[in-house]
Amino acid sequence: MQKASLLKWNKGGFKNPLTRARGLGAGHGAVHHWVMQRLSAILAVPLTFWLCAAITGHVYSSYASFTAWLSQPCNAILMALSIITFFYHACIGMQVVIEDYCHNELGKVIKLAALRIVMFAGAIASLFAVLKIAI
Amino acid sequence: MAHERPLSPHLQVYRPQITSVLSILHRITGVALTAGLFFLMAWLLAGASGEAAYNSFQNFAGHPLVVIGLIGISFALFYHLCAGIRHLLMDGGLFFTIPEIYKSGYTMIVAATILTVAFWAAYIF
Repeated sequence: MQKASLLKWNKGGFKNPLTRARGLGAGHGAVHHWVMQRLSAILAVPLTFWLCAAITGHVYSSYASFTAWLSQPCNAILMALSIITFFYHACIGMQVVIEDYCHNELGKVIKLAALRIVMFAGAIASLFAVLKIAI
Repeated sequence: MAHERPLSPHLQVYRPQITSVLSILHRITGVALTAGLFFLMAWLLAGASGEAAYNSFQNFAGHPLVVIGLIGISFALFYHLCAGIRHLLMDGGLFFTIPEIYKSGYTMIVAATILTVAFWAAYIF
């Protein structure tokens, strides 16, 4: 049985059978993660310049002018797109930081779960705020 | 099951070099920007909560210590932007020789600094 599994080297035969049984090892999601990190980064470049212009123009302006500005469809859509892009990019980036520096398996899983919950909640709260002002 | 072996990234045993310093700064600025996102969230939520909440947020955002923090966040943003573009170009196969690494690295730091100064100049004027 051991010899048969070692022959199937391309199906995980190089792994210790106990490791395979515990579900440890590659999850085969890394390429997707890598591509999505780059795609969100490319989308983030123009959005960064838009957001900087938005912030310099409005972060210290009056409540009336800020809400009037964000009520315009173009600005509301770009702000919503920025929120989704930046929270998503931050989430998958922070995931790599946690995976690289957290060496305790249980602590890593807890931190990754907490990260996703916090980033998802932050994105939803921000989107809600934009919609409430814009609609 | 647990083996007490040295774990990467071995930051403590290497002499800092431009490659490693720029790389770790990209990560540190990324973590700082994640915190900055929640400042953006606070701004939008204050706007959604009405004029009183918006005004108290503006008072908070105008506090000198917060402004210093925002200057730091803005530099982190422009550093991460420039370093990110450099990393995307490296993904495309550029800047793989030592002179190119130095040249693009210093160019990126200068560009991030200019963008930070321009950002605050645009706000003030």
